[in-house]
Amino acid sequence: MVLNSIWAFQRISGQPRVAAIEFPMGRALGAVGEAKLHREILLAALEVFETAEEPGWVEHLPHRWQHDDDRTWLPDPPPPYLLIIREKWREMVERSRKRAGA
Amino acid sequence: MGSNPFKDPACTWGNPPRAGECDPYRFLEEAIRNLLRANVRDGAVADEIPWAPVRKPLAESRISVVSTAGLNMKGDTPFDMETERKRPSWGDPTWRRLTRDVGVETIEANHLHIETRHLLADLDVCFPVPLLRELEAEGVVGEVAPSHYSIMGFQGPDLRRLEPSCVAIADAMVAEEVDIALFVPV
Repeated sequence: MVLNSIWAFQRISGQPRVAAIEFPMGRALGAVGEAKLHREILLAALEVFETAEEPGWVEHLPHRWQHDDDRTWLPDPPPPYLLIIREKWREMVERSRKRAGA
Repeated sequence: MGSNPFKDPACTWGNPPRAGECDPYRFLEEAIRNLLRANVRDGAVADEIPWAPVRKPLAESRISVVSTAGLNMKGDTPFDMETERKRPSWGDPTWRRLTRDVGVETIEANHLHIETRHLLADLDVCFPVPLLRELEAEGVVGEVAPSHYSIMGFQGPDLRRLEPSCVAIADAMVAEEVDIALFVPV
């Protein structure tokens, strides 16, 4: 049973039962101190465990993140790998632009 | 109401999300979002999905939690961040056991890809063992397992390095007669 923000990984990872949640990584059950919400989401995920009908099942939980001004899901400083990825992406975009302009 | 996206030819796998679906990329930094979208789009579709049927009601089940937040009990060896800083495509492939009485006072978190201060203030945000203890006391879940587990979620491109830890965790859960493994990746 997986409670997962990046539920799309399901396509390549094949998890048996997934409760999808649109919350930041690291806070899949809610923000600090939101005890009532943590309980609601945990119980919803456990219900998905009990009711999933077949392997690969995904259920999208309806809970909405209420802290749009909170950007603390981005670690500071960023991980070294992110700096590599950003550079690779920038290079890919630059190559595409050059090809398009050629 | 859920569904099986593998049997839905119209499934967009969240790119973009359809009505009623969660956006899997909403809280990702742009470069990571682009990378993961490409991985999901271009990766080989999973063709074998493990499945164990539900054998007991939740109120009779023993449950264990698995995290990718790089957690360890205080006193245990922390996950290796120094090597990852020097070799950014490397992630610590080992695993840790956490006890059922774990709390913010007894845990450490080492992870370069998430902000760990939230879980260190309130474990229930992503490692709900304290909340499960409450549900156990209320009779909602049968039992919180003696052991819970953490790996380091970032592993770079070769996930096969993580296999020994996955096997060890699965074996430990079988030994403790765990009925439900709740995986909360970060």
